[in-house]
Amino acid sequence: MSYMAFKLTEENRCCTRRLENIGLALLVLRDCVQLYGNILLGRSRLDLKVFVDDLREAGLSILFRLTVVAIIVGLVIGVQTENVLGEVNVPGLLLGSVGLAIIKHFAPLLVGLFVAGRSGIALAVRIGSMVLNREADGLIVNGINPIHYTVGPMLLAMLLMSFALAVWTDLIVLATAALWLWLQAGIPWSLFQDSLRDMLDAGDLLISVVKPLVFALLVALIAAVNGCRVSREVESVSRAASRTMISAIAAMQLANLLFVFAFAG
Amino acid sequence: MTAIVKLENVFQHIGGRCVLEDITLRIEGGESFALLGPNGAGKTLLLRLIMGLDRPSAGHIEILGKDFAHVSPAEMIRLRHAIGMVIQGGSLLNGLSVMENLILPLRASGFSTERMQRTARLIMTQLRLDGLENMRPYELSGGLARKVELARALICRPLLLLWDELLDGLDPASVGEIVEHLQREKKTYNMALIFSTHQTGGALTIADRIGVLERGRLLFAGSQQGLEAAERRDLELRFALKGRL
Repeated sequence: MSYMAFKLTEENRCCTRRLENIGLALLVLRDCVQLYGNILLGRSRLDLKVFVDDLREAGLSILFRLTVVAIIVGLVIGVQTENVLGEVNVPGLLLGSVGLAIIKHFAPLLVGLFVAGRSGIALAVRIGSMVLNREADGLIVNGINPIHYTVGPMLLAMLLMSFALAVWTDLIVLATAALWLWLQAGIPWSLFQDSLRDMLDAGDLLISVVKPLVFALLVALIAAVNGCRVSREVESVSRAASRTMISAIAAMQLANLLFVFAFAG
Repeated sequence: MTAIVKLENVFQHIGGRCVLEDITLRIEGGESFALLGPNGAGKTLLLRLIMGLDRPSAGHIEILGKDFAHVSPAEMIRLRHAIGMVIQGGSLLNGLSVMENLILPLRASGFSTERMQRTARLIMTQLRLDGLENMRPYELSGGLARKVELARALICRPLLLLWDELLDGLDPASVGEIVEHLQREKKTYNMALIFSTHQTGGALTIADRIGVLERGRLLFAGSQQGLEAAERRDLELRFALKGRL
């Protein structure tokens, strides 16, 4: 086979694999939607034990670290804003822009990264280990859809927790930045509040809560696809974990960009 | 008689290699069928196809009168509750206790937790697994884990039980117990049993018919007496069985 032919075959294989992954992600999403529908209709039960564990994993286990990072980000933003405030004459505009950036971009991305690093990787490893140990086969032969058992509760936990964590991160970053500016530059909280009120509208607030949900969905689907792709080698589990993190970051950045273009006005 | 399993001209290709070739087989209700063959002959693969864990590359598979290729997901779940399977290497969920593993197939039944646990305790007693309820699968010995898997496979009173590597890793006392239990289940519930094995002694005593697989081809399917006669005639079959023995 010539080099070009080989290269083309490889590219085709990559392309096919990507399409397969998208198809697999859509199937996972369909199964999850089906599960939630059945729960709402009373035909299925949510495994509360698994769900509570997933809530802990997707939210409580990262709460402390996320809070620390949010405080650090708030301090950095506070210090940077304080420096710029001395040079510009429109403090209200600057404060409003900073607040807008925090609420619309910083906090959702920060939460997305934490959720990908904790729940995303955990989900990929969990599914991968189940495939490796034939536990997934065990579920199938017992009439249980492995996606309903693993991704279903975890995705729900990730969505709920991402929403809560995004609101929490917004508050912590804004409060830290505002506190710094008040202590160091004497900027009153009321000015910060007024600037935010002038700058933010309902659409911005909606985006700020929808974005983490979209990120959580992307992370869960990417983790599920990578977990399902695990082969009989033990190393493939760690490969699935690292691939999940990298793909999740890329997907979140892309989604963020699409949000910016779609809601630029 | 009703065919519980019907395979017609089934082929399976993996990575361009033919691993199952033109398999045609029919298993009736209440019948037990032993699959013999050396490692890599395709026994596990054939059982996975019958369970619907894999799809054949070509051919037709009908289980309990339904074609797996044309059943809805909901019907598939119902069908799977009518089939029990013990997978080679174990498939118990390590994150769950023995009791939780046992009641897993009953979760879709809508039974109360109490009723599910009562059913599980009953089968645990029958298989002498009492006292293991709260243990995790990784805390069990290989033999006990196999017995728990069997208990889980039988908890829904399946019409068909598939067992990959029957009696593998079990001590002689457990072998006797399990053979006796399986014979009782077969008689009481008209359960069909398909199993693969390397052993000839205890395992084959429960087989009504035997199939010999070699490099993906079903060389023989018939009674034990028929096998002995065929072995004398057929050189290839003799070699396949020598590899097993």
